[in-house]
Amino acid sequence: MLEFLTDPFSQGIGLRALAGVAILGAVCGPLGVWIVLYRQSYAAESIAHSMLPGLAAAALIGIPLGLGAAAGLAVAAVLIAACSRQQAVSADVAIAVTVTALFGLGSLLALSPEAPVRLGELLFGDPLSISGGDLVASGVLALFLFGALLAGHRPLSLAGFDAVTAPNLGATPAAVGLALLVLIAATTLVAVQSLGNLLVVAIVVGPAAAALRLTSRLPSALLMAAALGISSGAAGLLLSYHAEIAAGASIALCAVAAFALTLPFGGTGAVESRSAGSPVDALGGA
Amino acid sequence: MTPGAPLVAVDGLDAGYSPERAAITGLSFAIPAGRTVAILGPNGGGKTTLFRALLGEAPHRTGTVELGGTIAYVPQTERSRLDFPVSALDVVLMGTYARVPWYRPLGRAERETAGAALGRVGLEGEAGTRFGELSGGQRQRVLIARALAQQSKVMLLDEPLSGVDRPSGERILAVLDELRDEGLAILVSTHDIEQARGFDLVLCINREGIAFGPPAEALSADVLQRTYGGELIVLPDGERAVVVQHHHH
Repeated sequence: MLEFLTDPFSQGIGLRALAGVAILGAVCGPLGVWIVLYRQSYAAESIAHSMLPGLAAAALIGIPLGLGAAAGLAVAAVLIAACSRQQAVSADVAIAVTVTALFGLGSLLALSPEAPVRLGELLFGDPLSISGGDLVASGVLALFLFGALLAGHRPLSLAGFDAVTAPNLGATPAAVGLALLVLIAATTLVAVQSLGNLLVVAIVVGPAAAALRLTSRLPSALLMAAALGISSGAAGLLLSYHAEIAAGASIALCAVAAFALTLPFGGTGAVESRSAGSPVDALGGA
Repeated sequence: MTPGAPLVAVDGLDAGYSPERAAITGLSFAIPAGRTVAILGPNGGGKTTLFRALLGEAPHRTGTVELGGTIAYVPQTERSRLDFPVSALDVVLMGTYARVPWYRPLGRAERETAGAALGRVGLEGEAGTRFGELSGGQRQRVLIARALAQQSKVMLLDEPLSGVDRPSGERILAVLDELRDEGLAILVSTHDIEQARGFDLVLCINREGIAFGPPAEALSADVLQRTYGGELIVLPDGERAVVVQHHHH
């Protein structure tokens, strides 16, 4: 039984993978709680997908993937902003069109014969390829993100709970929303290498959505999401080792399974689609 | 500001989204400490813009707004998020955030302030209850407690009594009277003309100031007609008037 748990991590490659996904899980979980509360899951997914051409181009040119992804993100941001300025196009259409176009372009680049990495690795990631350098990058990101979440905890609560009154209480909702997007981008940038373009959102949203169903207080939701993120990462590596399936996909499946397992339990509401503050709620509560 | 000066002094205020689209023009009034003020006006008459101007959040503003202290705002509870993972006490604690540097955790002083504020609105027993599980009236009282925790001299309340159960409504009015007696200036927007008669002062606005003074003077049939125009119905007894409400939540 013990070997079942320890075998996958008996060598450096497995240990590094475990450390890498644990760091990512610990960071992505709490960040995901804010993403779910701010209803930014779609933005998180779009950000990840729009990085693909940058990743593929970086692989072709031979520069670090992170640099390419950052450049891809910048291009996507400019394109989405430009599309949104057209009066005839609504924001969600602008994002959908831009992201799909970039994703297609990225696939084209990644499928070209000169590409050193296969498309699959970019899309689905490869936690087992995490190097010592990647670990250091993840660690630095984790420290930065934990610091940002701690320092930003009160503004995030104020603007998320009540954007109308937030300025009077000391927070600017527009600035807080922008800061959250920057944090999402920074996290995706690092996580995309081990978990891949298509799967990174699972580790961000899955544990967070599960935690928000299981607890009704913010601090416990943040801690629980971190714990579930780490567990999903470790469980995914175990599953991948024993079932001999792709590690990134296994982790994503475990993260989503964590959420699915909470569905029978009574949710606290944050992940349900009920619109807050509707007249029906007000009447029902009066 | 000198002693005896008004807590809220508005002079020649134009405010709105842009100079071309001013929602209120030429508004002037002064509120001394220790007064409750009802603000009456039709939808789109500028009540919300006036509040935003007082809070310093109106995109466009000319004229002067002088405040004798900090100002706290209580939004309509119908607009608040019910799905946020916070307890009643967590919400009230938000009123203390601006006083605590970001690097310092909230301490006992903040918890005591928040607990006392919750007690004042009669909800000490619900401190641990999730905000979304409270009744509409209780949520409104929690939002008032949050404003109390800000320890401001001026309090603005946006229709705090609409859609609120009766015990909560009575409790809210009692708390507002207590705060008035402690020297705060309390500004309350309302749709209810009868309710406005219970306040010390009434301000009627419809894109400009129509009347400002004690209810007996300010709430004349002529003023109400000019304030509400077609939205007003004078009841057959000729004394009382009701406003046809257009909800646009």
